[in-house]
Amino acid sequence: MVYASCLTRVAGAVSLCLPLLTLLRVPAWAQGDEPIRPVPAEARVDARKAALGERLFRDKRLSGDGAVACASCHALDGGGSDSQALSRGVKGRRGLVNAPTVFNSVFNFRQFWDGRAATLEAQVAEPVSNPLEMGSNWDDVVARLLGDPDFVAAFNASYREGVNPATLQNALATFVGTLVTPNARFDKYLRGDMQALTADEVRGYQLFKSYGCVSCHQGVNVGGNMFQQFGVMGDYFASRGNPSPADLGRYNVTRNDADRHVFKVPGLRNVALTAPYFHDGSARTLGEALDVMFKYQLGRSAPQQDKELIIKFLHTLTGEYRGKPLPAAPAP
Amino acid sequence: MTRANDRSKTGAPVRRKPSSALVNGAIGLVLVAVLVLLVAKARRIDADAHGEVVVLLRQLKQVDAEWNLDVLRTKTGLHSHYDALTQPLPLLLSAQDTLQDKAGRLWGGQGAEAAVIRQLLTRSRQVLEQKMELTERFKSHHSILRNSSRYLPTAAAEALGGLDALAPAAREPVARAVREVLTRALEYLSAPESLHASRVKDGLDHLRELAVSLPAVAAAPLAGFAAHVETTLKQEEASDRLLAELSALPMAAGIDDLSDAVARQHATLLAAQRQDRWLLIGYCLLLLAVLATVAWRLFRLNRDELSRTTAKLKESQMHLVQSAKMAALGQMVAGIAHEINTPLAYVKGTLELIGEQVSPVTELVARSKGFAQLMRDPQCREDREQFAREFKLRFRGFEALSQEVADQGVLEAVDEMLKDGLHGIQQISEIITGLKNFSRLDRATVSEFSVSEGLESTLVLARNLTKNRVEIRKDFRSVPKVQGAPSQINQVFLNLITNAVQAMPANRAEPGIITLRILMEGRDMVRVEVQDNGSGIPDDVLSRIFDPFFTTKDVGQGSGMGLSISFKIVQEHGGMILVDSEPGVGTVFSVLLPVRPVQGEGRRSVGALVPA
Repeated sequence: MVYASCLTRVAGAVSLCLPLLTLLRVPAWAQGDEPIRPVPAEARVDARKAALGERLFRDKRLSGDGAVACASCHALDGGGSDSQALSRGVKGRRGLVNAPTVFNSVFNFRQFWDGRAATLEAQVAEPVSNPLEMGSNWDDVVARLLGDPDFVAAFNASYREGVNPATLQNALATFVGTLVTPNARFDKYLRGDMQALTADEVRGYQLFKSYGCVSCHQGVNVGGNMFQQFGVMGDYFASRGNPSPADLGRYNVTRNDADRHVFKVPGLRNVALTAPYFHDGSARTLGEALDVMFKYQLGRSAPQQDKELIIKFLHTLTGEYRGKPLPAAPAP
Repeated sequence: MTRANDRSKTGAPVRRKPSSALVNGAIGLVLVAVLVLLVAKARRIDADAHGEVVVLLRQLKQVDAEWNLDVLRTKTGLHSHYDALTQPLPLLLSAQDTLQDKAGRLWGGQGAEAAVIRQLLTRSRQVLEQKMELTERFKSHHSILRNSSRYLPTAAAEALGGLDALAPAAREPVARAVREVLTRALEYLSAPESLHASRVKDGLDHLRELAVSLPAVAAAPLAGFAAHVETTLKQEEASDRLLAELSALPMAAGIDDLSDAVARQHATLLAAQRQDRWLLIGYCLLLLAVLATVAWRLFRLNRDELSRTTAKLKESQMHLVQSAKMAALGQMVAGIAHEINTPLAYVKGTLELIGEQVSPVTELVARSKGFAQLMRDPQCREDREQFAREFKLRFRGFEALSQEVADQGVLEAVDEMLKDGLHGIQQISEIITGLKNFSRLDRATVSEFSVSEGLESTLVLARNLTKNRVEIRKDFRSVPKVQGAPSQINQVFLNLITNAVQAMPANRAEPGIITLRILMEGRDMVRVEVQDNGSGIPDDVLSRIFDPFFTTKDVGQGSGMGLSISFKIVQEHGGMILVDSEPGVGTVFSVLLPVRPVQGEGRRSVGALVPA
């Protein structure tokens, strides 16, 4: 109660972060003990700006060679990512980490595997200029877009400042903020629809909690709100071999030894659609991912049956985008 | 030389330097600049921004306090997820950004206080980042700790299960050690003190010693258990350390310091502003005083200048009136001379004739005198004969001469001629009287005045102009006398009559007729009309005829001042001049004069117009 009233007060007093707060405000039903909270139905944003952002999201002119759009690696008709371990950018170059889903990224407390971006605006800015991803730069993008009178006219209607890197990034971030997938079966269950899940799936959720997965994968995005070391109970990277600079995770941002191999805990929403898994894309299936997690994060083993139940539960986290369920993943 | 000229022109000393306008302009500019500066200074507090900052700081502190609480709630397991801990992040960051932004605008300036605020802001930003980092670490450690601690009983059970294969004798000490470690670990978790921690460590060391000799099937779960206990120990220590660090972070204190500094800065600004406001008020008063002084001096200067100018104007107006009159008189002089000359020649001729006529009388007188002498002569008595002869001769002569004088009617003729001469002199006298009446230099002040007399004497003066050229018709009604300066009103009449005559060129077929009318206008105005049947005045000229120096006559013919002065004179008598003209038909000028004297101003003006 105190918590909610505090939030209400803060939300009421501060207009600066109102949209975000609205997005994250804890509804009354979530006062229970469940560590996972349902995805709010709608994000309140400027629809015209979001529409401009969607145009940009699908616009290949943002890339250096005109062949790659944001949507190339973040398929909105799939899980919001691609099926590559490491995505291909301009000229077929491989990225350094697995492309995370854009769905529900607005619920992440920070963006990127290493959490180097505090906001979506800061996040969308990077792939454009990353030579391995879109291989362009914002000034070129602005110049290219200014050559499109239709786009400029539409854009200027929403942005008085006109086309510039900041406004383009804002439009993109606004759009990405709308990429939420509510109404997952599990959310319906959380909202009190006991019939939404099968007994196995409920059992899977219980195991997800009792094995301790939930201590990191919690909150509205089932993760995405904290950092954790990859390999708490064992040295994952030594076993995997083939070390890469990206494996250092947050250390690359902070240069703090304590942050070695520390990553943002990824959200598990729509996780059945976002294979392969982990920052290196090394786990091709949920089963493989679970095995790694049990071994290196939980430091324990579990019967195969329990793991399968957990996987069944994970499938209930697939939500709807624009009122339509995301394409079903193959049943476990 | 120039200065002397200036002085003579304006009649007042001129002390203006050539650059004084420039200097005055510069002084004015400086005064205005100072005013603008003071106004800007007096308004330099951005109250809105300050209010925003104060609110923001308060919010920041509150959010921070809640954040601290959320950390504790997480630690005590009240929060089942970390969303509560991540929620304030965007708010805290954007609040910091806003503060930084405001800092640039509010405290961008110099001053120790502003520098302190900027420093505090930077410090607070650093603390926030530190706190965020510590919180993140706490979350990571806390989640592992939770997992491991919750797993400990299970792990212990698994380890004990692994011992089942062993002989009871070998199993018992190990099992006791496992239970001991579990108990101590749970003790430590419930009261995380270093004493308990070392006891857990001792137990673990003991367990590991025991485990060395065990077969793999028992050793593996034991190692797992030991690893989790160790993790629990490590994570608990880490999260406790982090919590200690977190609570030691001077976040709230920093915000308080910032609030204090902002309040101090604001107070300083307020004090300065108050001072500035007084300064501004003082300066405004000073400016007002300066302005008032300048205004007063200007007013005085203007007043003096004005009275001087008015006096000069009146003077020159008087000169103008007088000279116009003299000009009119000048024009008349030739005519007047002729007027006088005619009766003068007539008188002269008459007198000459009288002279001629008188010569027989002289002869007669001489003979009568001779005859009388003869009668008295004593010799005659002695010589009778000669006496009788002489007597007879003289008597005949005398008789013949007297008869001749009587026959010729010399005396009658002389008498007649004397009468004629007197008439001529009378005429001259009339003209002189008219002239005198016209100018009335001897009667300058306002007096009762008969307009008919005025018209008559003006006509006498203008006779040379009108004679043989125009017919004068008079239609004089009986009207009361008016109050006025006779010479001035006569001047008006002369002007109007002269104009009327000039409106009727001598060489035209139609005979010129000037009709003079005197009648009453209402009950207290006398109306004098001068009507001609001349060419009339065109409309475009009509509107300008009373303008000074406006004339349709050739250069040298007219001064252009006649009607203007007439208008002025009549106006100052409290009357008016009306004109009604139709081209080709003629013009009527009507002079309306009040019967009763006008009050005050007009009367004085009349006096003022009269030449001294």
